[in-house]
Amino acid sequence: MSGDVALQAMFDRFLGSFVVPLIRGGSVLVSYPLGEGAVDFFRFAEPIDPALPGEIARARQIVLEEITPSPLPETLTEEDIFLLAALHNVLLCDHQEVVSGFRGQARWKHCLTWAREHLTHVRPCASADSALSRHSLLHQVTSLERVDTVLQTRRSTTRYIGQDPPPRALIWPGLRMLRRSEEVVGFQEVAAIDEARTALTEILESSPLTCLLSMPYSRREPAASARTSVSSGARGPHDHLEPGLDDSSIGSELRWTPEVVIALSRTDICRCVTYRHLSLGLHATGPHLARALLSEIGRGPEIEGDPRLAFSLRYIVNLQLTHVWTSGTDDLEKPLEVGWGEALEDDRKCFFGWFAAALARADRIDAPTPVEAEHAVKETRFRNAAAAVAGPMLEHAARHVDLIVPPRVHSRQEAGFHG
Amino acid sequence: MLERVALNQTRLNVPGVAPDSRGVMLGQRGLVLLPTVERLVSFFRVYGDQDSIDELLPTLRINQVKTRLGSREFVVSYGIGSSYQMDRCAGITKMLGGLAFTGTSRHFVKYRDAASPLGYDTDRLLPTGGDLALYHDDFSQAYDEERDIPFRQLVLQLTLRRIPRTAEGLPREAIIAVRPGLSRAVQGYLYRNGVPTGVALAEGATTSSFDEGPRHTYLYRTSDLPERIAELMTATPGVELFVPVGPNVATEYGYRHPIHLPSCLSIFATGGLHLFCGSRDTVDVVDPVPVFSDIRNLTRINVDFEKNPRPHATREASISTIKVPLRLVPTNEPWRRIRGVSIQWERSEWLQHLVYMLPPELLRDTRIHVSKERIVLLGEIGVEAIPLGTLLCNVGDSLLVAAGYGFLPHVNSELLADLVGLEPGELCVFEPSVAQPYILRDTDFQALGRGAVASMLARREPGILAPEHTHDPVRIRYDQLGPFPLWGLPGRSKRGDTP
Repeated sequence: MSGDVALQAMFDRFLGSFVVPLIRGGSVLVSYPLGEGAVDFFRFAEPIDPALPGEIARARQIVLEEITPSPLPETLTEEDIFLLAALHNVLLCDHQEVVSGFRGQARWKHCLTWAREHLTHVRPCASADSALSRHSLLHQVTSLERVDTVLQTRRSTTRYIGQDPPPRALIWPGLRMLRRSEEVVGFQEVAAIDEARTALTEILESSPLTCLLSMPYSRREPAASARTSVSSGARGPHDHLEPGLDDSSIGSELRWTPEVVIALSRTDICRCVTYRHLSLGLHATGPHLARALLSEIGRGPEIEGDPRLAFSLRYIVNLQLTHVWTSGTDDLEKPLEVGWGEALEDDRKCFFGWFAAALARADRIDAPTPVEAEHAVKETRFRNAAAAVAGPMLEHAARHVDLIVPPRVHSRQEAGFHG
Repeated sequence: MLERVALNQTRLNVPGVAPDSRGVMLGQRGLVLLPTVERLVSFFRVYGDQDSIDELLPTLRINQVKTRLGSREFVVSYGIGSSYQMDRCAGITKMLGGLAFTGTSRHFVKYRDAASPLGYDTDRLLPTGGDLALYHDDFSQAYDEERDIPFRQLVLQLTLRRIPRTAEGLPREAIIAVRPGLSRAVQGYLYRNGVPTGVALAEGATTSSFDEGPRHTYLYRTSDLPERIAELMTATPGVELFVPVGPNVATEYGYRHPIHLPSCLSIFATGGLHLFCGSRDTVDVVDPVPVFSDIRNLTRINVDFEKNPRPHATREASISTIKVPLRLVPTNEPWRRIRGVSIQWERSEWLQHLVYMLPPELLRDTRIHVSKERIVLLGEIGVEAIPLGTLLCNVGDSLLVAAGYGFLPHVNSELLADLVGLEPGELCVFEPSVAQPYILRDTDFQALGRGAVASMLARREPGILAPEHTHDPVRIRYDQLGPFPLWGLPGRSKRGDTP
């Protein structure tokens, strides 16, 4: 009985201090790890505070109002509980008191094992509604940050990760020449351990809409020399959090998974994502979209006629079309000339090469015809400029288009793009 | 037959036409073909209202052209700065039922439209003959130039349009043209009223041998003309009031030139002062531009050389011996510019009752000042409707005097404000019932609605459906777990298993 009371208290604290601020913003409290038994209890538990479920539902609804007016389940589903518990445990792997000491490695491995166990219960999103529901929970994950307090004396420097220093550490500040500073650590450096980072990526990928909307976010990988993973048996996981990481970064790569395509296939969601990508700028979103498609193309001739890739290509082309038509300026080519100069990566060139090549095969990609003469002029100019930027890559891009969308009849209703 | 121009097409049949940076086919000149002179004027009216005609004038040519069949039309041609400028001209032309072309010397092809955004080319050129060759969808035709119409001549020949006087306020700056017989009276009147004025004499050329001589007109240029004097000048026969629209050009008050003159001031840069008179339908040109002399140098002075100057016996006297007190005296002048009401404090209860019946505009626009002895209400409109207290008229900017009273001696308001010692943001009120004028500070006034209505306590009730957005960052905070965080952890293993 006393065990259930403790679990009930854990559940209430989990909802009130972790889930609610994760959705609404504020301070997300990461506390004791959630084991299998705890999550089993959470699945069927009701919070003592009767207002808490309504508060969570309202916060989620507010998140979705910015995308589409879509109804949500009033309570958290079992999958939601598993997903949130996994996220909690992954974040716990940075906890100083978990990773420190001679049992530190065993402790964070325990936490990660539980997190992976929870993730096995989370199925991929089978519908756009479930993608929306997931996104309402995880939309702020890529905005997570942490405040570390650094205390520096003449003899030592101590870092308190995500915690306030204890009062005993602050005594006699004048005598000890104590200097206190606070550093905000961004999401790039949260989940320092490799395994935890992998699990965090899986959690992110379980919400395709969050991946799409926060896609240009680039998750920075610490420099190899500076990284000191706990799993590699070194001193601690936070040693690489010093500033001055090198600029080599890998993205939280977008993949054109069936879940992403399912989420994008709904008109209102597609419109929201399109506007989001346009507002961030093609220079930020283009490489990610292109890289995702290029990695699929790299699988070889088996992708021929793959409807999923055809859909992603259509999205890329229609995104650029929408940009061309909605940009008020007459100086369309300037961003291409300035931002996409000579030394460009292949994915960036492909992004525009596909556009130039696909418009020549407009009947296959369901590109809408321009409604105004000015649109047609703009489109032609942009296509020519894109072809010039792509240069030799244009032939590759044309081959890609022929491979992905072989000549056949498509119906426009299939696409459902609304730029 | 016209052909649509494709993107990057460089080979064209029309000579002197090439794509610009946007790909639009453009020659060195633009050409507008208009069927009637009314539309020609309308073109400049619309263009001048949107843009500066001065930009076109250096290269502008207006011609009356004739076709082989004898029909006459008007052609406006000008150098093109950019396709944006040509777009504006083409838009205006289309609105007026004309046609827009572009070319360089003789051959002009239809300018771009929605059907062909990059412009047109022709499949064959007209053979020689005619000064102009125009190519359009419906026709390809040669025109002969019949006569040249200078733009300045066009502007000077147009009749001014009468506009309601309420549409434009009375001018502060004006040029007053006065016949010689009235000049002395007008000059004295302006001087007495302290209007800063410059005077010049303009001589009109004789148009007939029977004229007695050159026609003289006195011109008075004023910089700060009071409204009442401006009204008087417009109502006096023999006096014409002109409103300057540029350095050397003015139109008669109550009239407007069909073309927006400020957009084509360069044609008036030389050739004297142009006075467009609407009532006489003429343009008086005073060439060269007259030099205005200060009116103070032309006042009448009496000099008697025969008079023997006799030294006066001077008497020393202190300044105070000649000072006289300022008095408020009843006047018969009508009450003008009533801006306030002064209410004795004993009548405050009546005012409280009245507040319930005041219209919302009065509550919003009227300001209230409450002191221990009286309440003063100020407002631009409608304050005279308050049936309490003494009405106050505005004298000058910051002086209020009881309605029906005036000052004796007749000192002007600026001097009086100086004597009282008014500072910016203060008002001085003169009432016959109060021995000494009192000063009110502008900052002590409140809106009547706010000052008269008692404050109420209201309770805030948050709505449960209100959006609860927080803009706080999502920050991870780690709980204190102690040195052994997994020991005794509830729910470590599956429920039912051994913990």
